[in-house]
Amino acid sequence: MSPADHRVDLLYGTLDLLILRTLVYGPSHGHAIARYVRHVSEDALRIETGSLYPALHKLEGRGWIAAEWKKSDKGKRARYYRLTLTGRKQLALQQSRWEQLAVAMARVLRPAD
Amino acid sequence: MWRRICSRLRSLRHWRRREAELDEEIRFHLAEETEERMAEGLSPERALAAARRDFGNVTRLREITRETWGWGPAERLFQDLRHAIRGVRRHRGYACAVVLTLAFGIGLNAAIFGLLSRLFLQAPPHIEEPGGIHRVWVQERDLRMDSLAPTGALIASDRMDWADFSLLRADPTRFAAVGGYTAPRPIRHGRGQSADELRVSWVTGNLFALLGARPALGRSILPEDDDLGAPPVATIGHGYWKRRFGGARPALGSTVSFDDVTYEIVGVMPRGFAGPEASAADVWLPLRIAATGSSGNGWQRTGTGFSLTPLVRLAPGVTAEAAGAAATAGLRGARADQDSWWRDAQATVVLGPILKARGPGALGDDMRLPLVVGGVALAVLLIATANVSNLLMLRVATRRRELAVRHALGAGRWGVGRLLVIESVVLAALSGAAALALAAVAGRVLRDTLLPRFWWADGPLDVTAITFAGVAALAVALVAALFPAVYAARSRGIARLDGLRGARALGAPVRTGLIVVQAALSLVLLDGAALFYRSFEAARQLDIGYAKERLLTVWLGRGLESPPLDESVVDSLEAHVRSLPGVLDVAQGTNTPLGTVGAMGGLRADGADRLPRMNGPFVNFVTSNYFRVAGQGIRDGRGFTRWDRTGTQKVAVVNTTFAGIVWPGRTAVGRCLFVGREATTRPSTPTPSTSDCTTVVGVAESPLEFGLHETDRIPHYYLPLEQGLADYEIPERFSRQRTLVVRTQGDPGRLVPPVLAALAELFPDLPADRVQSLPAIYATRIRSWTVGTGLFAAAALLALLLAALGLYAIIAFGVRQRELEFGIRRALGAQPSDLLRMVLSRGCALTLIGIAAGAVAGLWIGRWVAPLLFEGISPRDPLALAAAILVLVTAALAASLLPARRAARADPRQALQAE
Repeated sequence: MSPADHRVDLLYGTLDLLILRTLVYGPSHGHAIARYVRHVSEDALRIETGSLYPALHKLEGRGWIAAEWKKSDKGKRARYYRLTLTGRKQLALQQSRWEQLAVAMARVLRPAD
Repeated sequence: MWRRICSRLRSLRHWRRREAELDEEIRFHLAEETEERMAEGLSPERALAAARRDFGNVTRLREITRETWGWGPAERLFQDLRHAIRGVRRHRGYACAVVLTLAFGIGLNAAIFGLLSRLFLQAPPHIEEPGGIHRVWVQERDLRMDSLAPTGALIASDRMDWADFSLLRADPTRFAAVGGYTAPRPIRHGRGQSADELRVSWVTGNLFALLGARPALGRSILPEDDDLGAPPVATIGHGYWKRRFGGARPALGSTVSFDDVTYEIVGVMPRGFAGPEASAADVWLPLRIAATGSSGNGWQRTGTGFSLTPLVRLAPGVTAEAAGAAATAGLRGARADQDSWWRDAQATVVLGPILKARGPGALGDDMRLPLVVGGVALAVLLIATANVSNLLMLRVATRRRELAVRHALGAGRWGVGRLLVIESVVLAALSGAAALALAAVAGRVLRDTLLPRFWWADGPLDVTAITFAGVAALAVALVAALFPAVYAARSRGIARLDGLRGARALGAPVRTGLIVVQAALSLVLLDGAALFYRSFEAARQLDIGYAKERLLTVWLGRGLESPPLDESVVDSLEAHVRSLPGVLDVAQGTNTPLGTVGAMGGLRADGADRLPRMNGPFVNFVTSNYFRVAGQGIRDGRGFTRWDRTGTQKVAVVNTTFAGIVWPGRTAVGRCLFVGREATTRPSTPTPSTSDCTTVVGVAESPLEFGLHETDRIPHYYLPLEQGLADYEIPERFSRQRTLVVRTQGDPGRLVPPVLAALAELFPDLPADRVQSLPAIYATRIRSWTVGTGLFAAAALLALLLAALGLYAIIAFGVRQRELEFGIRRALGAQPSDLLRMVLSRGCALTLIGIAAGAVAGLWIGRWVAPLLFEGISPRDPLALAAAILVLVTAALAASLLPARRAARADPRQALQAE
């Protein structure tokens, strides 16, 4: 089994949730967000760069996250994103929705348990 | 307003900053990624390359991200525009193909549309309230030559003789104004070989007032100028004014002279004014003065020859129908009274619009050919649209991945569709500009070839043409974008981010359909070109009754004011011409083959109580060698001999048409004629026993004197020149008419200069165009087929090219899609030739369906083209169709061959590795 095979395709809308969740731990730049998701999911989830930046800008446009230019830990200028207040509310909302969905899915998939 | 512009500019600046920020963000990401890879042990170069690879397409990412920024409609449009322009620049070949295709389609249409609108829609320029002017038509049955009764086809003519015209003028209660003009015709101006030819139109004195046309300089022709005693005056056209006087005022007071009458120029008409028709006139002369001159001698009395086109303005409260009905009653009454058996007593007068093409008359070739060209141009436009639509669809198919990403990011059905539409609009704008440039050139060419005798007020790019090009470009772009946009929007549910698979299936029926349509239209055009070529060839090879390839004519005729011809000078010219190398023989006659004819009022024939009254019989006094020299065969009896001279028995030769009309089914040889004054003075009808009558000794072939149709064979009779001038009492004008008919060994055109030199020496006052070769005259006669063939061939070639390009694009795309499949087939044992055949047969199959559809369409369209084809060439001509099919199939094979060879080269190894 090659490493690519246990990767899970991202469902529509889940990318937003992942980004918001990652930013709970504090402001972060795009590359760090992608790295974090990959790392935490043990390589199961890999965010395509081609989708990440458009998603970040979309969330910023909606006001769920805000961006500012800061020096990274290595001293380079990077665009850091942080959660806004609306973003936090949205995260809570979307997370609970997601959990409901997950529970429901589990019930359907394993009715005997 | 100012504030809005400012805010736009600010947002534009803001936008640029965000772009820069995004770029920096991307750079940062790449740098981080590279560092990470280097930490894994890769060299800096490989690390960077790996980072880039993983990152994917930066440009696309930028574009997609930008869309999430949520701009207002204006910014979005601007952005789409930028994107579209960038796309156009990136895919230059594709854009070029689209722009050129559309430019040809639209440019051609804009050009022909300008022409057609001038013919069929716009009133002639500089005419006041043209809607109130009516052109008067007479609809009547034609005189049938065989039965000599007005029972022929129903024809409509906008020309009247003086008697009929006077009927209109006599009814002021219905007609507030009645004016008339003669169609412009070329008249010799000045003397000698340096003389030029001007197009002259004679007008009634009130015509300019009726038209409401004001001169640019001086005055126009006035009613007073119609008085017989008034000094001769002329009004000239703007074009002639520029040409002769360089557009200077001193033109007023200068003169023009025709037939030894000198006219003072009193006015210059404005630029573009051509009278009630767009056909050009250089000079307008008052009708009354012409009536006293030679060219209109006696026309008011006899009612033949000279005819006027009547224009009227109605009296207040009178409708066109009522006026037409009254005029009809008047005309029928007059015809019942007169001795006019040859004219239809049930003729109808119809008042039409001032535009000739909109009247009840049959469209002449000069009107019909532009219409056909319009149809051709439309077909080219359709092909171009289909082609562009195809190209756009293929482009969408290859961009599925990008479009799918846009969808995934919520670009929405409308967003993607809009992008495609805007791309098309950008392409349309470019195409529109290119089309206008093309239309300017094509317009000029079309004007010169189709309507060489028109005055044009403006250049080929008038407002109508520009509007047309703009609207057409936009419409075509939208239609062309419609399929791809719908297709792209539909693909939303199916689109996966996994490349091109499935692209072939989607939209393929539409693409195939478009290819079939293109092939069908191309076939129709090719068939048209072949039909016109066949017509052209048939007309070129037509036996017109003269040895048309080997004749040269020298017309020595003069006006009534000139003294009679000096026979000794004519004879010395004949001797001189005869001595020229390449000349076989020279004959003399009073008519010119394919040129002038002479009619004589007096003629009676035994056994016939009526003779045709219009279009003959014409008389020609000829030398004994005339028939041999002209190549006119003798069907029955004999031609003239040198013994048919003055003092011997008076003899005549008639042509087959004459014999057929006057003595149908009976022999003509031995019949008796009264000719000239005898016909009017002798009380009885001639019989063969009548002493002193003219005996018909032979029947000659009927040449096609004026046209190319069988009905253009006109009754003619011939008398020996020597007898004619001495033994008959004939109108004096025949002593001023003479033509040398020269039979040459080779191309008669080469003898024009030496003959012209001889003419200049012996007849210094005669103009240069008196020497003409029959091939040159004949070329103008078959011009509509020459022009038609050229135009059709050009359009068909263009269509073929476009259709081939479209087919190539489709097949090549299909092959690229199936490269893997071809590889596998090869791996499974298919030979390259099998693959070649597979692809070729697909291209041919599409074309064959198109051919079937095109053949059906061609049959249906054929009846519109039929009147333009040469007699005997059917619009369903199988040979033409076969040729068209052959060309189209060849082109289809050629277009499929390149991609087919690519398919045949498919690499089985690559295919296996890929799977």
